[in-house]
Amino acid sequence: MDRKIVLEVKNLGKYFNAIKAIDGVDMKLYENEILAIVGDNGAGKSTLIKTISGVYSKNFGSIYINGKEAEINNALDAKKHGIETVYQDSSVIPLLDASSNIFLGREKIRQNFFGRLFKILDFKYMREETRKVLNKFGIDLKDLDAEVANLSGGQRQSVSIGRAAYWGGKIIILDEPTNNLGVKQENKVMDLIMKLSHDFKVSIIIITHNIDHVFQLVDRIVVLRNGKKVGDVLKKETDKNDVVAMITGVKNIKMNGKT
Amino acid sequence: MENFKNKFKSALNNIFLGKSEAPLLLLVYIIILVIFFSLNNDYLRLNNIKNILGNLSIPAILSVGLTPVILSGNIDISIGSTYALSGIVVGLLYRVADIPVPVAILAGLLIGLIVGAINGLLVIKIGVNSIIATLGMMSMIRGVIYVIGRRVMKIYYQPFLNLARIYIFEHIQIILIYFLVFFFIMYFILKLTKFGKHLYAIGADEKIASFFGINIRRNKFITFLISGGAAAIGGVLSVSVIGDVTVSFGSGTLLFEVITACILGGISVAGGRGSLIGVFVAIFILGSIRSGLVLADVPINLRELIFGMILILALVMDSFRVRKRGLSEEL
Repeated sequence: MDRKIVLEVKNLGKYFNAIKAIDGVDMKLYENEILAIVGDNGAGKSTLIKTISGVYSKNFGSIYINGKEAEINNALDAKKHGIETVYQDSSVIPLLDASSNIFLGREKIRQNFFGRLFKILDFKYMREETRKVLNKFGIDLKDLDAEVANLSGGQRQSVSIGRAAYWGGKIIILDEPTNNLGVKQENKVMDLIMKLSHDFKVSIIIITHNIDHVFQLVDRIVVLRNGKKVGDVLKKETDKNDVVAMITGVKNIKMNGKT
Repeated sequence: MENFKNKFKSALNNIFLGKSEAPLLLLVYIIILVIFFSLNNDYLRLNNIKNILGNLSIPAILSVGLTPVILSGNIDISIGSTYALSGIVVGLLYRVADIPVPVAILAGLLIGLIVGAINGLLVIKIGVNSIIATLGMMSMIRGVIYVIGRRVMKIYYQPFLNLARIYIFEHIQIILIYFLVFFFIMYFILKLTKFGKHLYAIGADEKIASFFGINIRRNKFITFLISGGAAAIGGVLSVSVIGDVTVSFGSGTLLFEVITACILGGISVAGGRGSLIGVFVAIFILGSIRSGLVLADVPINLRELIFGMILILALVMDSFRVRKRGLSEEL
């Protein structure tokens, strides 16, 4: 396959004192694919993506974006490289409204003299942009000023995913996006993810426990166990039992179709 | 007409869902006015209204200055001491060191900023919990006051006395104007600027705010400068109003009045929630209650008891709101 590799990690490692959360992981992400990272609790999925997105600093190994090595020491670095992350709790601030969340830390300032002097917020612009990006995901919030705490779980996720898409993330990482949601909400979020992939042409990494969702959504599956990669297969070359076996360690390593 | 109906509906919603304190407080305020008026008809006379407004103006300045601190998740209980220290410094420099009054005033204000900076360093750089840090500062400053203060320092310099004592349009004391100006500036900052938005974000969820590049440390530091500065302004104005300053200046109920106004006004102790509008109404409510109790001949001990109960009530209401917010965050 001669597809472009948008993200690659080589021998990536992150320790927390004695705990080897990830211990030499190699992984590629191709352009416009949806990749799932699965594994049991403690396998290192969360640590892996947090290291890629700058929440943790790696202990060893390297990260490459579009072929060039990238220094990612904090969340802002990651964003500069086009990596946007949606965390388990949606990483929205419940007390703030949708547009405040989408523009968090990147607020638009009014472009007149006083605006730039006092950093006055351009609420009209931000609300309009928020409405536009949410509409692209098929979400129509009746009250854009409502605290997101008052929105449904699916709507909250749409704010979070909308934010990632809006800021031009080319690599979007979703950490357990359907956790803690009812079935109807889960399906809505899955639709959001599909839209994200088709309409925004981004590369997506999803961490999830839910094998069914994996097989509904993704192109390729990476399996972690005890901080190491034990599986790297195309969805069409595997099935649920296979994947579960890799997660629990019953089955041995299966990479690219070979066991 | 349709627009008005919708706005009215949403205001009612706000009151009953507890989203905005101001309408409810306004209702309470009107009830209070009615009660006290029936107890003593002098209550609503012009003279008494001027009295109420004059008395609430300076603590109000401190409440407005304290609000950003609480919004961003901290507290500053040293404001009473800072207020006193600034007054003492002005008195000392003018009466004992013979320094011209304008310079003495500037020094007093500077003291407020210095105390604020120290509070900021303790809380942000060293990482001390803000209650403990500002409590320590409060005691330390009290000690400093007792060391450097003199028995009574009277200031006869008329221009200085005019600073706080003149009336605009015959009935409006200028300290009320100072309060209103400060209030509008702070309201503007909190509601309309990036800084204000960031304070709310930090108070609501510091971790997420920092993920998105918001500078937690710098923003919090600035809030302590604001509370220290406001306390100093209040202290200097207070000396001008009273005309002299002693070592016991500013001790007593000032701190509690100021904090009560913030909490009652809806500024949540958990941070990230509340509006200055609520604080504004709470300031007027507390001032009116105090005056009403005095005119109804309620003895001072009972008055202080009542104010203590109001603070507890405000804290309890706030804790319900925080609990509800904690639940919704789990969803």
